[in-house]
Amino acid sequence: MKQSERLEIFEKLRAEYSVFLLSVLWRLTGDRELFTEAMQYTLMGMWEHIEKLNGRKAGAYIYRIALTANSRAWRNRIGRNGKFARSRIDIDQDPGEKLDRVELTAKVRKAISRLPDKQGRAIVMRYLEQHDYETISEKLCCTQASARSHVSKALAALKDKLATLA
Amino acid sequence: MNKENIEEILKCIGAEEIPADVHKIAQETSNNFSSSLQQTRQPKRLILLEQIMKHRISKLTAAAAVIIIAALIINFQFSTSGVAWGALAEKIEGVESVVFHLTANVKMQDLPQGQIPKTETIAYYSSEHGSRAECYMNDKLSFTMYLNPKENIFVSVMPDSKKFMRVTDKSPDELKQIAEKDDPRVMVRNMMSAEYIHLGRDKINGIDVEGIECTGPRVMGGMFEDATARLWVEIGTDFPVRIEIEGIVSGGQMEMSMVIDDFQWNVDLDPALFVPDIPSDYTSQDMKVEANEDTAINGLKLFAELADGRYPSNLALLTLMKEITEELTKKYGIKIIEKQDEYTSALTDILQAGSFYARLAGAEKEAVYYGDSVTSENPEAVLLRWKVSDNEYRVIFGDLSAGNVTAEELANLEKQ
Repeated sequence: MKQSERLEIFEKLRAEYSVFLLSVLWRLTGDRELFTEAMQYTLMGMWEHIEKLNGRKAGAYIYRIALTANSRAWRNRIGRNGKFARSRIDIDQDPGEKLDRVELTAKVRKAISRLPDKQGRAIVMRYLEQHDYETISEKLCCTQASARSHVSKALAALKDKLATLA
Repeated sequence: MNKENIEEILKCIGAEEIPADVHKIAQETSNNFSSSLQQTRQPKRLILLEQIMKHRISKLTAAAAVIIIAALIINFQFSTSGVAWGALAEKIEGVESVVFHLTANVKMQDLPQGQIPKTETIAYYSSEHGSRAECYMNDKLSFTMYLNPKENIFVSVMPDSKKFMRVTDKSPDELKQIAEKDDPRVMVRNMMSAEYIHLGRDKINGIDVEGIECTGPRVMGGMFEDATARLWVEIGTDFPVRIEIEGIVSGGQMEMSMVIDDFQWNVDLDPALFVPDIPSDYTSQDMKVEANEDTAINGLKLFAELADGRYPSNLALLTLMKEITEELTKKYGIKIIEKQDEYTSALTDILQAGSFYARLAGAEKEAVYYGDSVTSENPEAVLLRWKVSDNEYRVIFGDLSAGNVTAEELANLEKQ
């Protein structure tokens, strides 16, 4: 594909998905630094996979790219020693200390970034984008029952991950 | 936590409004990316990684901004030659207590504004109990600083890292000197005795005010390459309403602006406000506040080690911050984000050189710095000099040794 053609597709997608990326990435990060980094990784992912994004499945690909970018941005918050870097969304490691709402929300966001691909997309579509199961099943190319199953499994997985983070 | 709790939190996240500034960050990030793709023939991945790295450096700038603000609070000074502005200084001297609000913003070229944190400080001063400054970064408390020369207290408490820094090696007189620099009454007195122009009358929040303006590199004691400070005073009460300070570095590549307002003069303050509140699980950390010849030399040495023998091009604090960031970025590349502790430590030490120079400049000691032309390969050259008596100057040489010379000897050295 020619460079000019790649740029043209990229610009078209950038305009088309700007609201979606803003909405989903902000809700997944809730933090300006993380959001910016996730946005940059998403744009980089879109550019690198531009050939695959020139078709009907572009939306599904961009969804995946955005969620992968979000996971990557969250991973960068963890230092070499495996502990969280000090930051304003740092999570208190003291299990005896009561977490406030803000910390808990940050924990949930972090746990979403660690979900398997389909579960991650299902939970984002259901709760962060507030889609019904019919829409989710169409977007995930599965039955409504499967969509419900993905959401349910994701909730269970989140519960487990939050327990280990406590 | 059960599934219902998680669902409730998820629903709340889904219903959250997106803040207006996040829309702006998204737009700027996206546009910057697009521009990079179109403007260059370099490999695209490299350009995109550069974009991400710039963003990461801005996180380090956040740490630096806090240190700069602390240094500004400690070193707040204006040049002190010129004409006095009426009897306002005397009136301010009689004030027993004051509370004010300080907002500071740093702008760097090529970085979206939203990526650099906004820093706000609420400061309380009492002639009886000392001072307390609460510094917030993006609305989160970063540190609280307590200073009371009478009780020999100088403590900073940092809730994020659960640490506190206590200065124990200062006499009450030395603490009093530090406190005076931090005292808004002294700021106003110094500003009004500097050379200034009248700005005429204006209105701030419905209050009739009259202003003066000081301009030049010596405003703020040499912290910036160039700076402008404005003082607005209420007509009738003669109390300051607002102080505005704007400083630039590298010809405007980096800018810092500060506004001090919401003054409450002679307000009753609870003495408990000035007692350091240190939770029992906080740990102690060293605090370096004394900017003197030794700490300045140490700062210059550290910089030269990072920069292969080069010294900072000038000692304005923001220039130092910018050049340290550049050197560490050269050294570590994209891994720089993992070196935040080293960065903060190096910055704190190297800024001592800037604070020392600012002190000399504020004291009008004919301080001149030649870092733009002298390196460690010029051991005999004058790197920094200042006047210590009528015919005697103190000199730090290119090899970082120091000694006193006469005015004639200095003239010869500076000719070389």
